[in-house]
Amino acid sequence: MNNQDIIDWKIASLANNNANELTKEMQTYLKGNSPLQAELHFIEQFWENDIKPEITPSDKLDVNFYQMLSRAQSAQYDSSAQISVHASASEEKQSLPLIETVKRWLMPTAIAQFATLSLVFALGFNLNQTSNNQQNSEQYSGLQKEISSLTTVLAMSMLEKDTASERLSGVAYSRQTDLSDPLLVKQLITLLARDKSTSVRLAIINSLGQLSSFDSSEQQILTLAIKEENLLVQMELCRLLLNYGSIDIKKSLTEQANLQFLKPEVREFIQTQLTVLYI
Amino acid sequence: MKNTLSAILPLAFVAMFAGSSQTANATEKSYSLVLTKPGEPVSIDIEVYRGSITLVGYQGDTIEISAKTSNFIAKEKDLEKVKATKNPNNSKRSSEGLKSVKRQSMRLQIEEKNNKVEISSEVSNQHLDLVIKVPQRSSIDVELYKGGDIDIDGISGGLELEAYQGMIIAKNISGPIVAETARTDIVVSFTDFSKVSPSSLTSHKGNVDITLAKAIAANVNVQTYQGEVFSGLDKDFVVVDEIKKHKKGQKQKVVLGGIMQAKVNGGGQALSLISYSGNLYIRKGK
Repeated sequence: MNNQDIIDWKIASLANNNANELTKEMQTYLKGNSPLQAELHFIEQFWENDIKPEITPSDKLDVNFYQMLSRAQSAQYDSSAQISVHASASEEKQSLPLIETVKRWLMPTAIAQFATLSLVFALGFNLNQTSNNQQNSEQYSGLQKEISSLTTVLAMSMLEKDTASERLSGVAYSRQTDLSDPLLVKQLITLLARDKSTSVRLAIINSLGQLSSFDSSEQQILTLAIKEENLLVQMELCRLLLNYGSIDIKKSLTEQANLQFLKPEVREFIQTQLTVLYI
Repeated sequence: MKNTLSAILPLAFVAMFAGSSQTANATEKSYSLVLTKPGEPVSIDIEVYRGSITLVGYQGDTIEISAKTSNFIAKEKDLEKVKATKNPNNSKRSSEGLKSVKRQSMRLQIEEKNNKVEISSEVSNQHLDLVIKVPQRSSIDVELYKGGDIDIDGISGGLELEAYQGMIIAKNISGPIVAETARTDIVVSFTDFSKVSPSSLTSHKGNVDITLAKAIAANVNVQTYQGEVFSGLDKDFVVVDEIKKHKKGQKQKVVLGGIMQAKVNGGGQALSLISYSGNLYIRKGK
């Protein structure tokens, strides 16, 4: 029994909605270990998307993180060795950047969740330190990029889940990225067009508001808005286009409203929004 | 191993208002479903065309299903639809000298494989009342197209509920829950609140009424277009402005007036309440 066993349990329980209780041995171990209790609290805060946790973990967790990365790399190395009989595949693999190798090793989702959480956890912990070390800063910058990529992978994986609640989690993860990955945006828009849950669709529209540029998607979103039969979704699509769309797309949307192609409630909503925008 | 039961339930129909309505005497059938993997997670998927569904969580490890038909009085409009000739070229057949044979069975299908349970009844002209006792930890997915309500009590697993005509009433739950109705209310009381995934309650034209136990921490988001919001929470709702962050050198955009949010007990997982024309009620429980 060591700290890592308890931390692994905590992360697995958060990632998998695993309601298993701690064993008595674990409880006893945890009871007399207040730094570990603080670490678990810190992990939980991160899982709940608190950006600035009140408590920082011990140095040991930082060490654990690098141990985990090291294990991931060795596992990847072992895996590559096994595949080496397929020379071409192996060569391709060796040339992959770390993020790709970690991504491949980290499937399925539960492990990806574990890794992402650990990465986010470690980054958050390190950024909370007051170090001015330039080298560390570069490392953190690199780490941050990898976290963004892993969060994207995690978001994409969650968006494919069967339950609406898990897909909502996926949308929430997508909001943590800068939506710079076109595949993620494409997946969000596809889900927006076909998901049966209004909650999921509204959450996606909310996320799409974060897109740095609408150029590639706004025509598609306009088409969705015009065809949409769900009143709530149609309104929010219109709000999205009015708030973030180009002048041309706003003009097209207003024309559609004037031509009465949209529901009366939506036409009224657009008029109100336009009035607010012009004030 | 797949455990499948198709229960054909004999029913005695009595025509009461010939031509405009019909009723059926209630008949009840029970079945106890033993899970393949007792003690492990359970997911239950229920799809019923017309009826009501009551799910009660209990400490046991079997699924106790009670199915009952209740009186169904069809509206004249519905009967007209049933009677309508599909092909206008078909000549009308005479029924003179014949007596009408009413449907006397109802099909309820129950399937189980590795603790994944599917219960379905897609018969459109019968009203089925289902009362099911399930292990508290079960994850539930229910779709009810017509008829009564979805009623849930004491289930700690994830809930995904859709009722197209009836209400959704869930009490003593912890979620995550995603629920949706068209014109009817959603009433939910949380004794605890799941930190794992977001929850969301959407009623297009009905009210959403929730009660949160005192200790629950959550980010409660509210959004209604024509309704009002009534809150008994100590924490005020504030508007969350949308801020688009961009890389250096590019523009930033701030949109004032997004959704309204209250961080209850310091905030936590998201709980969204959405309606177009209904009111939103947020109550503080014990």
